[in-house]
Amino acid sequence: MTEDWLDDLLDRHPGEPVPPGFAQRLRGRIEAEEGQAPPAGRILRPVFGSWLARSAAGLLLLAVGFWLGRDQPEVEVLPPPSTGEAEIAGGGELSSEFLDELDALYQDQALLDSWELLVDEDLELGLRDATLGTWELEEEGQ
Amino acid sequence: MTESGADRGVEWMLAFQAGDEAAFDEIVEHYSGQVFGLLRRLLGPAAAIEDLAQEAFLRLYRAKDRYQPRGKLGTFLYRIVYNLALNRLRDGKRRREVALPSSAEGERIDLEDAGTEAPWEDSDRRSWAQRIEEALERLPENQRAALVLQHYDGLDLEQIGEVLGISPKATKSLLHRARTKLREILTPYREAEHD
Repeated sequence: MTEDWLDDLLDRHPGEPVPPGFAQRLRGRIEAEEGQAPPAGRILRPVFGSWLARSAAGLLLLAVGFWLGRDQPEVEVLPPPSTGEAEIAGGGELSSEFLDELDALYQDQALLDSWELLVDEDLELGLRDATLGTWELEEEGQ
Repeated sequence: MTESGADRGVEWMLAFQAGDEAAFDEIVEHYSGQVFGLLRRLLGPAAAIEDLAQEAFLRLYRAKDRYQPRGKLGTFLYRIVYNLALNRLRDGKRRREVALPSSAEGERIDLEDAGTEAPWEDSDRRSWAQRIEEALERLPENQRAALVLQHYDGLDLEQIGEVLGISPKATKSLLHRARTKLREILTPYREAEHD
């Protein structure tokens, strides 16, 4: 058997005929697709149009707002509260009970600050022997 | 002159880029036969291929602005066709896998191998074209494409590699395997014919 018999056999395939009217159908599909796509010049127009409409609507709302509020009394702007000591609404004095509670809170805070807390990373919690499950801390204690 | 300089397809494509719509019609007229042939040989006798052929040319049409004449237009078009065919084959395979019947033990039955072992029994009924298409269908997709592009479209190793996205060396090995396998498949038909 020679190498050529395969090529000879393959040559018996006649190819595929192009169906009649293929080019016309393709052209129709291209035209249909092009008809759907907006031309390049039209892409910006709706965006620009909507921007213009929104600006006009905003200006109109502002004008209406001014017109409605023209006869209203002026809004009194209060000065900012004075800094420093806290004031109680109504100008009353702080009760002694409240001041005691405040003192107790400060004392607790001072107590907490005096403690030296260790974070987990500083603790040596590594397993000495993973199979036995013994901890370094346990061995040191023995 | 570059390789693409002598290619008529490239000249048409450049004219089309410059606004000559008739140049695109020339491309369709010139390459339709090759596109249909490639699709038929890649997809087998049962596939509906006109839609894919249209899609291939449509993609070429859409590539108008970004097309660069780096090689032959045919190679560029074949790459589009190959990718479309590959997608179709994979979609079909996925659908077949979903619809594949199961045996009593729950094992999947491979329909592709079923009933293909006695090809010469009905050899009189079927044309050689159909037999070749069926034989090609039994090759892996990339081997099939390499063989078709070499034998029917006359592409060299480098061009086939360009279409398939592999090196010329890998293409050569692919072709060798394709021819060996195809010889195995077609030998019984050939012997039956000689008897």
